[in-house]
Amino acid sequence: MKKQILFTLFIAAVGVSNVWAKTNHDPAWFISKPRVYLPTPGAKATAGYLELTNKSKKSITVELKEMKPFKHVEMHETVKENEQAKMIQVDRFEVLPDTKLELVPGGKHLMLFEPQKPLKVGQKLKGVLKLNDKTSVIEFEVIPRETQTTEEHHHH
Amino acid sequence: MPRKPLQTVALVLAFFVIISGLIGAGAYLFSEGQLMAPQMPPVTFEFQDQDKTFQFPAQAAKLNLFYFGYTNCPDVCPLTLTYLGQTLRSLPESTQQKIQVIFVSVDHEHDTPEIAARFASSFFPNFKGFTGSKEQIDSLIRKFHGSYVIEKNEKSYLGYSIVHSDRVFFVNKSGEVITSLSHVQSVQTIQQAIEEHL
Repeated sequence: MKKQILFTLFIAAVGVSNVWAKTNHDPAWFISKPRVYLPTPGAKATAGYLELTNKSKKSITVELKEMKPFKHVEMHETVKENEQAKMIQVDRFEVLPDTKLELVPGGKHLMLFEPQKPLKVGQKLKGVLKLNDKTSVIEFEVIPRETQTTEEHHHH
Repeated sequence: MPRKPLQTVALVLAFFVIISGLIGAGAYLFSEGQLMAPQMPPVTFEFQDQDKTFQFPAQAAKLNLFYFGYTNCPDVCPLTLTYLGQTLRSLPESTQQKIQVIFVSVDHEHDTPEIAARFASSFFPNFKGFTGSKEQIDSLIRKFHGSYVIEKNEKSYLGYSIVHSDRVFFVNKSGEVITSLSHVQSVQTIQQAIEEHL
């Protein structure tokens, strides 16, 4: 009986530590609104977004390393100049002290290529981010395009 | 020979008249991201639409909204098409039937008519999606005074990206470009332009 209780406690502890890793309780920074748009039929790529608030006194660099089931991931920024829209690929985003990085439609975004399995709305995907050389696993939610709102759009 | 004071005053006045004229013209052409269309020849084209040929303006609706992009564009193209879809959904069915949204993929190297059509209709069932040969696309986009450039990017998984006009063109039943909106930022902006021109 004692063994069973200990085993249950152990399992519970592992579960809590997993949640801890995913949600980050480091007061120096936090991530909000991690989301991925459901891929559009016929398109090889879709986009993901998030917000990272840096409350620390040091800059944070952000790199996306992986997000299953996507075959490849990159980071880009859409730049609108005169009449044109263009995407610029970046290796990492930098979040200065006491600032917030906002990845939003029409601005900075995660570019996600060729999901190896069909995705559905509401599904949770694990995104592996490198934040200042430390790896963090963040849970992204797959959302439909229709949820895009005016507030989400990046104003220049 | 030294210039007379009267001549100098006349030259300064002429300079200001020209500058204010140019500013006025600029304000006329670009008003809050909206292009008051200059004289453009009517838009005419033919594209493959499944087994048939789509002819414009023979098959034009009362109001036709054109957007140029590509299906592998993950951000700005779906963003604009989503706003267009949301706008159409916000309108009564009788008004929806007077409007046709046409997405033209400029990615003639990778997109096919089927891919472009499937992509466009995923934002709203009645949206049309076309693509064609480089010559067809170049000829069409020139009629809108738009442009695109396919840039190689070996660092990217896709291997390329496309810089393209980010503008929704409003075309009437005769094929005349009547107005356009650049860098669409809301459903309300499109609704307002539709109300003005339908």
